[in-house]
Amino acid sequence: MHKLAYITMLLALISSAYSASWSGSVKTDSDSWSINRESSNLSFIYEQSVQGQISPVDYRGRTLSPYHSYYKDVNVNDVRLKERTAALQGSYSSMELLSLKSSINNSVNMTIVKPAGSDVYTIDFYERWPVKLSYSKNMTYSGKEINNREFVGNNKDYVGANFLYNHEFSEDRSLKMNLLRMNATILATDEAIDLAEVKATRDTQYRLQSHSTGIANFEWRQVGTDDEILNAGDERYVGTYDIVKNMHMKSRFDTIQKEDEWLPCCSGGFFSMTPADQRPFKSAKGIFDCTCYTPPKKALL
Amino acid sequence: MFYSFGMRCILFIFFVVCSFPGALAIEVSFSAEDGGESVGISDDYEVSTGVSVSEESEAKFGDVEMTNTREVAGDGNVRMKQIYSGDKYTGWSLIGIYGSQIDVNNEARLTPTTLDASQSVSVPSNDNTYLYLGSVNNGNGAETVVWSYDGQVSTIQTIASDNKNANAMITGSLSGTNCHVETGAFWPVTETVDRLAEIMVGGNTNEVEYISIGNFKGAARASSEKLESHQIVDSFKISGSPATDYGYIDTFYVDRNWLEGHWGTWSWSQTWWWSNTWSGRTNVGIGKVYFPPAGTVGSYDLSAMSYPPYCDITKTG
Repeated sequence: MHKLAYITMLLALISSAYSASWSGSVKTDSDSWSINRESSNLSFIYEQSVQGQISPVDYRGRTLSPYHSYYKDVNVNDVRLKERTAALQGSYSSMELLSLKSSINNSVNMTIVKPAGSDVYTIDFYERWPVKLSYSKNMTYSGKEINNREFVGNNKDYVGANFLYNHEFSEDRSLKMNLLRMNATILATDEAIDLAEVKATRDTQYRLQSHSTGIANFEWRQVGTDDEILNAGDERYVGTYDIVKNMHMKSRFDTIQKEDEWLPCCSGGFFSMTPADQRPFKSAKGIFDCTCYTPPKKALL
Repeated sequence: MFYSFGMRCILFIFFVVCSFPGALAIEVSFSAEDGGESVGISDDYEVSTGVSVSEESEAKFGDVEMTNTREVAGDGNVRMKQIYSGDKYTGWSLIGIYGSQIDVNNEARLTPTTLDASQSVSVPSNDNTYLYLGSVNNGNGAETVVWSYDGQVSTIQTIASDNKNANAMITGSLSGTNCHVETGAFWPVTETVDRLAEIMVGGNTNEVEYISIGNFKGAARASSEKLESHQIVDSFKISGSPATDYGYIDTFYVDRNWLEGHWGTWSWSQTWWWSNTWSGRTNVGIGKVYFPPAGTVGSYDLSAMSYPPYCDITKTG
């Protein structure tokens, strides 16, 4: 008798899953920009262990084909985890632990500023809805065929791994993703949007050790504030491979500094600049600060 | 040549059109939703280079709510619109100013069913100013309107509405060659309902002399049972020629569509103009309009009410 022995422990905890969302938009005569965010006060823990044989089953006089499928989707405030697994007859074992926590206890803020003397509006949206996700999984398969696809994303950064047409397959994977805050800045006039930046302070650590006998495909991307690709990769391995990966993507943006500090040694100038011109210098200190300058003890030749 | 009510209507429409941001404008919106309930604020700005804008909104979740403050100050042209929206209401702040030393402060607090907002405006010298603050909540509307040509404006407008009542209030002083203060409670026009209780105080001079409306206080309230409006004017002064300049003080409860269709047929008088009963399209309206003679000073207590119909002008000065 073929026997599928599975699930030694399953624990799922979901609490306080109120879904909240906010949206913002800026529209000028020629451009428009918008953002939509959704999160909740949520905690979720999922543990699972599976060990067994994927095998035919007799059911009401007929035989069900041996098959295993697995589907997982998580998406909280653009912190995403997707998995799809399909396996034919063979031996299969896996263990996984998923922990997710998100919060919407903090308010979301928007500011609009246009100084007198300038036609440029600076619009800021600031959100501190943190999300913390940790996930570890190991899987071993030996049999007719297994396809396994996984995707992890953190506010437009992502890592994807696909293992297709494998007879022998194993993986040991760990993932940690954090989202701390997000602020978006738009510089616009009546006529057009000059700049739109989305700055999510986020962190993604992805580790993988795999053995595959079919096609292994990896893809990743890390983007900047204007969705520009800062680094990206696409790899494809056909054959038998042992692959170890360790990736760490981190983007950190300071919170909005609403007021300039007292000018250290000079005055004027910065405040009379337009926001677009001020931007590269960030603050008056960026231009006029003399305090960090230390005269050399000896004259340089 | 004096300005008839038809001309006032045209002036009013002109101000409304002028107050809306036109082709060159920026629109910013911010909304929040939680548990199926939502609030939002949408801004339209079209302001001169010499005008500063500073606005902050904060959205809180759980029991979703939004607070908003803004200050707009400077010299030049200000045309802006702020729309408040919740599950049961929509509110509007409309501002159109061309002047100097403009200082506008708005505050608002929105929940899915309630709206509290205020609008404080000071313009020591304006070519023209139009201010509107009003809301319709669950079918009950209340609004206040102010305009002034070539004069000074100092007003505070507020609206406070819950799921049963809409309230609008106004205090301040105005002067100029053409001035107008209006409080109105209304039920929005539908196939079967079109009513308001409204008070308007204002006047027009020949762009030489001045109207001044000092220390006015007005309130309008709309509930599902009745509409009422009330104004007290401490000082209403017309400095002009009796032949060319006029002021108006009127209260009415009436079928608005019928009334608007007949504005153009009215004529002018320096005394109590009429007190009459009309047979309107679907309702009966009663109104009183008083034109104080130019060169006079007076104070007035005015009220209008619908259900039961009532309107009155009491001259207290």
